[in-house]
Amino acid sequence: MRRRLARPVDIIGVGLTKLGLVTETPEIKNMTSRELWTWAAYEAIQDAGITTKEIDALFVGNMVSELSEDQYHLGNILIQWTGMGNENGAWKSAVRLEGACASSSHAIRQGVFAIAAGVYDIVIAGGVEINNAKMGSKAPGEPRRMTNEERLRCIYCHYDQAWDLPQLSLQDMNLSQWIMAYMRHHDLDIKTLYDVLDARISSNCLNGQFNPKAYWNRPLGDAAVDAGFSNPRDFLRSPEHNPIAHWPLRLWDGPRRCDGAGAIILCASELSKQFQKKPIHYLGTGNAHGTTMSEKMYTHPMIIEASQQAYGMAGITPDDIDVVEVYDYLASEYLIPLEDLGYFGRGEVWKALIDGRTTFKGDKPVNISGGSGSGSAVGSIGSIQTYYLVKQLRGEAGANQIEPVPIVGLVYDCGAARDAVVHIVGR
Amino acid sequence: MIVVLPEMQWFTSSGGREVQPVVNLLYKYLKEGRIMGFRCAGCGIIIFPPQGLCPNCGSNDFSWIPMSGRGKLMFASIGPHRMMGIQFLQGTVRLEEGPWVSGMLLDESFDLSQPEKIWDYNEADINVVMEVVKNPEGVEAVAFRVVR
Repeated sequence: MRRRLARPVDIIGVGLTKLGLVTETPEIKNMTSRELWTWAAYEAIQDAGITTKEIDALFVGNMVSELSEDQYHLGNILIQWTGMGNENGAWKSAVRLEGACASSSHAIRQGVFAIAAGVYDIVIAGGVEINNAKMGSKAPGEPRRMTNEERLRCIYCHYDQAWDLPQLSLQDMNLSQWIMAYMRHHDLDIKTLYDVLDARISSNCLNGQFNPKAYWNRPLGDAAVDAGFSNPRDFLRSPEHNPIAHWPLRLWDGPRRCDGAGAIILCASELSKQFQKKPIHYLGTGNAHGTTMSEKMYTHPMIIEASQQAYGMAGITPDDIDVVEVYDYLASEYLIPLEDLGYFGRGEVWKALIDGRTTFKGDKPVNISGGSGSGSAVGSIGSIQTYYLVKQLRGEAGANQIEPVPIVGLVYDCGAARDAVVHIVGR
Repeated sequence: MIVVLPEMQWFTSSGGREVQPVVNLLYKYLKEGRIMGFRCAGCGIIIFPPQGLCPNCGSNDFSWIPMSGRGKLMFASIGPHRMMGIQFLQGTVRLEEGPWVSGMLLDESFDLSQPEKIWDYNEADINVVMEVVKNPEGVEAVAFRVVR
């Protein structure tokens, strides 16, 4: 296996909707997957300085459209909505890919491979997700909030229905074992564990409060004051406002599931300068699978494997990475990947969090978007993370721009905590 | 997984062993109170729960064997199964035969109102035995009972 791109690929455009709920958030209210995708796609097309005529194919990631919209076959619908026809009246190639929370990361990878293989020159790849609202043919364009059972189905349908779900072998339960195993392995006590959990939320909120596209971007201090606390720590330790879900993980240690779409324009590197003055190079990628169990629980072979594939393809080492977007669906998926990816040494990340090194002002920035607490539109996560990194690498991030402008960034996206995808981008 | 129809058996390199309805048989055994795994005829390793091809040698030639039911609790946690509306303990167990399995952990002495006590159940050299119980939806499940 060569694990090289036969032809270099660049990212020349990125687009992202406002993240939120299509039942409530004003900017995206009453939208279906079609309009969310159109928003992200058009923004990316304009950002790239191209037109739909130049795009050869569409790859879209999505996880739960069957459950939210009774809708299969988004590829066919979205290629039409994106107006991507050929001269002869046919529409161009399009396909939807599903890989739980890594769906859009798989779409990006397939788009990259199609260009590297020489089949296409320019493709649009990304993801779209509605996972809090229910709509369909009986009330087109009139989403209603999902019932609790409908929401749970969106989460539980990615479990193995033949074993894990009926056997009560749940990923979230394993994930609280990850963080306990991590802390115990480094001889840290429960008090420190609580401090680490608080520090991750502080770091994510400090970064995400400057993210205008986030579903949640209120400063942590304001959220505490709203609830009647002068100190954010007391707010986070309050069982009323931050109840335990799977001890030690609490409500705020999880994601804010929301709706939204992201889109990326990928282009063969030899053509990219025609369109974009600041192309970002797609340097490497990797993918590996596993379960949420491993022999040590504080380290997981799938994460190490996926990242080594990506570093090998990019020809770099973890020391070259300036910024990471990690899909921290639960807090455990922040600490453990950051060490398995090599961005931090073993036993370093908990201390780095407490010392505030992971904010956009720190020396090891992580999740400048705000992480999953700022909005988790599950099947479009990878494209959204890539959007944020491209903005950082171009120096266009705005109020939370890292200085000096980072050169190489890494995206870690993971489907159901068992489908690890890594993207490395650089300028 | 390659599905081999009887009339196509000549076509396969492995001699044309028919693929079994594995999930159906696994649960049929559980309904009888029997916890059965796979022994791979190709390399001899034991697989639980059973799957399509051997992760070690790639063979599809398995025989059903009873599991010893003994294992070591490695990791444990506490939380809800929201779909089934219960609060429960989950254990990750290394079975005597080698495989890793997660599932319900049965320990009547655990006080669910003190979830932080689960910390002490991790890597504490606790022995467990497997038993077949019914989950809240009435489906047979393999649970792990703490042995003291």
